[in-house]
Amino acid sequence: MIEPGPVCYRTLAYPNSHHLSTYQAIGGYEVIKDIITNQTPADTIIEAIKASGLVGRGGAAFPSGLKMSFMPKSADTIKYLVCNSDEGEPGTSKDRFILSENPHQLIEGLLIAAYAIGASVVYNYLRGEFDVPYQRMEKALEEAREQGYVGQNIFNSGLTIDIYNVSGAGSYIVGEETAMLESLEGKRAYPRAKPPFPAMSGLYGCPTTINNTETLASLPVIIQQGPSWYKNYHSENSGGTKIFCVSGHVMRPKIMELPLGIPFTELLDKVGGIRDGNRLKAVIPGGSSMKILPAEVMLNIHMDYASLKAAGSAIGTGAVIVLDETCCMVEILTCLMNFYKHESCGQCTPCREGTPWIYRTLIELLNGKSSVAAVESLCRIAGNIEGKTICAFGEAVAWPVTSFLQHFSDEFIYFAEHGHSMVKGRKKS
Amino acid sequence: MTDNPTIQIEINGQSVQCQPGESVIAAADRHGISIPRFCYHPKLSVVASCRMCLVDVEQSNKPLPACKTIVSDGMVVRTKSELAIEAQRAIMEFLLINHPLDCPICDQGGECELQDVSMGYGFGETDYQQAKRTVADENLGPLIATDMTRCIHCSRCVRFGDEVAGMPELGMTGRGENTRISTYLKHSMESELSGNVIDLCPVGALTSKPHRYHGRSWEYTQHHSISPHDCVGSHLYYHIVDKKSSEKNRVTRVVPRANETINQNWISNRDRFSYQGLEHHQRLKQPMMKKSGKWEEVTWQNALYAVQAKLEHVSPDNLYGIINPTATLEEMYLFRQWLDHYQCVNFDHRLKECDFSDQAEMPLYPGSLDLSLEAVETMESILMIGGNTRAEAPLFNHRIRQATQQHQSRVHELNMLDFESNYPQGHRCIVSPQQFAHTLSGWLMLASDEVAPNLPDSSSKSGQAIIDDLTASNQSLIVLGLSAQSHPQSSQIRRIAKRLAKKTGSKLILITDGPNTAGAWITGMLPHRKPFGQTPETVGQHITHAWQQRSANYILYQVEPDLDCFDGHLARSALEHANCVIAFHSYRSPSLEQHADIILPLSSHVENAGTFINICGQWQSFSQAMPHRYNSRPGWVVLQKLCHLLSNNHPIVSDITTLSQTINNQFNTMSPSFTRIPTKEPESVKPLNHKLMNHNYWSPFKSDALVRRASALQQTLNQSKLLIHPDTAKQYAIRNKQVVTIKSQYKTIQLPCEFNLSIPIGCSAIHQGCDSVLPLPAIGHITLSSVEGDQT
Repeated sequence: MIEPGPVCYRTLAYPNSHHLSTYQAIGGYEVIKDIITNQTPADTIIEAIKASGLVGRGGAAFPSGLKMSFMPKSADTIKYLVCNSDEGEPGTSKDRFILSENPHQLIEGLLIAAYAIGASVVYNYLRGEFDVPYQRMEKALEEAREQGYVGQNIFNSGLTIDIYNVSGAGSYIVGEETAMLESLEGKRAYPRAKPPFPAMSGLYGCPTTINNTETLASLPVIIQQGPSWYKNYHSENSGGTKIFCVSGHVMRPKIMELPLGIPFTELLDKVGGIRDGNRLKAVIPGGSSMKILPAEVMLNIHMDYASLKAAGSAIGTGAVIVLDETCCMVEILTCLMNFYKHESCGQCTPCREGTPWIYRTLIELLNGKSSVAAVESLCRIAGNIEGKTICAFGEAVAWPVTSFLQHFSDEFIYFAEHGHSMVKGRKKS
Repeated sequence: MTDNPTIQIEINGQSVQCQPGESVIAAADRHGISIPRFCYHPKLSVVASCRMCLVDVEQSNKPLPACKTIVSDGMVVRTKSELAIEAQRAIMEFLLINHPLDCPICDQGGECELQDVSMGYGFGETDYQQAKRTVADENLGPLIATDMTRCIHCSRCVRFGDEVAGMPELGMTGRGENTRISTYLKHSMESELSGNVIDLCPVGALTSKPHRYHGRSWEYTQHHSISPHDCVGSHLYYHIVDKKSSEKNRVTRVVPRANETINQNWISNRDRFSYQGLEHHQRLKQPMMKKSGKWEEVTWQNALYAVQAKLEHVSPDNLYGIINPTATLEEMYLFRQWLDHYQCVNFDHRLKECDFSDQAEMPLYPGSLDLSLEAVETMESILMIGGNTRAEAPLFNHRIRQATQQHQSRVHELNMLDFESNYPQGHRCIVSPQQFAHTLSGWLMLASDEVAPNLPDSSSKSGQAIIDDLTASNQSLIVLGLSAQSHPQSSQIRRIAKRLAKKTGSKLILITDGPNTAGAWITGMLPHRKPFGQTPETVGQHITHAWQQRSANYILYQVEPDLDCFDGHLARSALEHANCVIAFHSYRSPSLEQHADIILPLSSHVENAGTFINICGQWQSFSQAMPHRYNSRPGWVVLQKLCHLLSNNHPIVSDITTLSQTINNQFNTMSPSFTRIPTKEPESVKPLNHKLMNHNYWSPFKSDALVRRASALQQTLNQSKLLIHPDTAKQYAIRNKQVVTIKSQYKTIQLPCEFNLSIPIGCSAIHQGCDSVLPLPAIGHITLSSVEGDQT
């Protein structure tokens, strides 16, 4: 289920939320029109974004305005903006509904960002499996082109900003920003070694900024309402809104755009609490790559960047995976590792060799053919991957392993010693 | 490299001077600080994927790959800190969990980078208990063996294909642990440089098929030598197993010796695998004489006396000294000295040419003296006339490719066949041999702002564009390939090329046959020049004239007449009617056995010493890599003996370097300057009026006696076919895939034909070539008929 929200999901309150007319009725495209007709200096926009406290909503939480300000100011080379709509993080399905339900706001956001960084070409890279979102985006783009919002001479200003939708081919790693650039260039989605960073040498070697869909779709509202409105949306300096995708063992899994800083318990209430009256066991608060936090931590936490960081995890993509007391942590981790084993691109050694090793060690554990020593080695293997890979996939593999073992090592050791799950008991043969 | 070091960094407490933009690993390498690596190679792009070179860089909380980390002033790097060692051990363990730990049965064992690095940086223990990955092998053809289970995915071979060979034959498929190095579709590796992946592969995944399981690196002595195959003269190492008896010594493989000015880190497949020919069963072991039609083995002394007796009363007019440009400078020099005793004037080495009318206008030797191989890379535009540098001189071609890759050079082409190039092509014009010289002559008129008569629109348009490009470029080069020089109008072609180079401000370079054509010119292996460019009293007869004689006397030095010559059949029939044939060679061959009177066994290239002068005029000496085998002798020893027999005054030197030095001194003092030789104004060349001409293009693996006997290289050749344009075939009522009879002036052969749209109208082409087609002229007129047609 999906609920209307104040920023990215604001059209969802209306019927036909994805139509141009719907978006125009709530003041759509007015922001970019103002910017272009008044020739607002790009710096003003970037400063506004900086002031809003907006950070990358794709998971890495890098300050968006700062990222834009890294782009070279000179006009002698073509610059690109890439919108990362390859939403692949397990548990996450927030961008999909921006693309399908509010595509025009994303287009306006793309135009604002492109204008601010001086990009004349924008690629919106969509996850390969997104069929309806792709079609909605294509339709929206067509409408925007007809209106003269996109393409050459937008708003009769002489300015050119072209936007293209690109559909991926179904890999998780293409969501890594430099892998996305490789894929856009027609190559295998192998993450690039950095530096150079994309702002210096990105798509086709040109300066490029890559932002998440939610980040870019927030821009029209931030500019319209002003940075301080956004920044202090919930409480002072809370940092705006965030789409939370609450899944797992809750009564009514839901996607909601909520103020940052709301207590986790409130979030849990909005989805009707834990299923079957069970007790909360743990939460992965930001998509499967983030560190898991046990119930006692989560129940006292506010859902914002600082609090989760202080608790040892992160808000990530905002995918809140809720686990109740019935689940076996060994099974859950195996399930996650199966995903990472399958999605490792294979380019660099630690991840290519380490992820299958972790996965198979867990499988042996699940089959009751393991030892405490093997459980202990999991952390060592994960630690050997972490920080040694080309991209952050290494961390995405390592963090779940280390955090599961940090908080639930008793379950793993029990499994190793007894050959069956501590939670689920002996398997019926 | 360290002309202007401006950056100072610290590695392991040692202060290191670096250039801006340099990587940490390159700086460390230059200062002898070892950092383990697998994917990094100085000649390939940096991918930083193996992660073996992770080092501890101050102010970074994570270890950084030394190959991808660019130095910055004041950077502090530690390769042996706790962080670095932990990272190295981690990566080493990951690399080894799926790698078979069966080094004793691996062909790479003992010279494996993984083995070496694991000894130095590995942990020695692992928790890994699971099954190891196995991977199906690829069949990459007769040269490269695969053991893909051993692959560590460093991707050096993939990048080599993309970046150096210009043929992306290998790639990565699959993801994660399923990543495979593969050819995508099954095919063998066809690149002329493909053998280099054997050296690049850090493990035993890609090894040499002919060398596989033939020896271990620690059993070999390594001997530096120069390639005996092409005019570049690549530096290489012979790896030799030294046994107590020299009979059992053998070369087990050839690897490149890095030389930045010549071959960089690479050698061609011909250079790498031709060593197999050294062991060929046709190797001559003993001097042989024909007595009443039967061959008998004789002693060297008897053989040399017999040679002397044969030549004693021979008239100088009727004596022909024919030498292959595979001979060394010293052999050529002594060959000339020896035959000078008999007043011989008919010398020649231009085995694959047929038009010599411009010989007097040639410089001291055809190598362009003002051009280095490295300078080829800086050319802005290049015109290739008649030839395929990929086959003729692969590492010269590599320089052209580098020019296109690094300096975006434009490479234009006028050719008789549509050769596949490994770089982006500029303007191309493919014409028949009949039209070839005519087209070039038309282009020269265009360069003089005249109207070129009778040129088709397309060729005059591309001609104009090429001339404009050459003229506009600051650095431009005209390359005359081997087929241009085998052309019946090659004198005119050379004259036009010289004039065209002058008009457009380009440099001119001639690709030459064999490793030592330049040496042959210098030592007077020519009818019109004495050694060092001196003018003879009498001008002798050139090689085509020599082959037209009846009852002549021939001294053949490393020549297999039917396989080495422009018109093999003509040469062979000359020998058939000869008065006397004395052959110096390393191998028996049917033609020599049939027609020679005395055969003297020469030592092979590895057992010989001497000097080759390459295409850029570089004198490159090599020493004997192993003692001579059987009862063969190095040519320079035999020729000195022969000279000594004739005149006791002739000094015998036992040390070849003294001889080389003598030649070099004489070259420096005697050689006249040929810088101002007047070239005849080229005439306007008319097209040849043969109805049908055939271009018999030598495969690089048929170019000399050694490579013709190298079995693995021979296996790479396809069946010979006559390629013909369907429109031409129609005139002879020939169907596709049909067997046809090909008649040249002297020879008739049968071959299957295949239609090919890239062959110009009015000509046919034979690629690759099995031995039976070699006796056809390189470029000559033929007639065709279908075999069935003859029968009905």
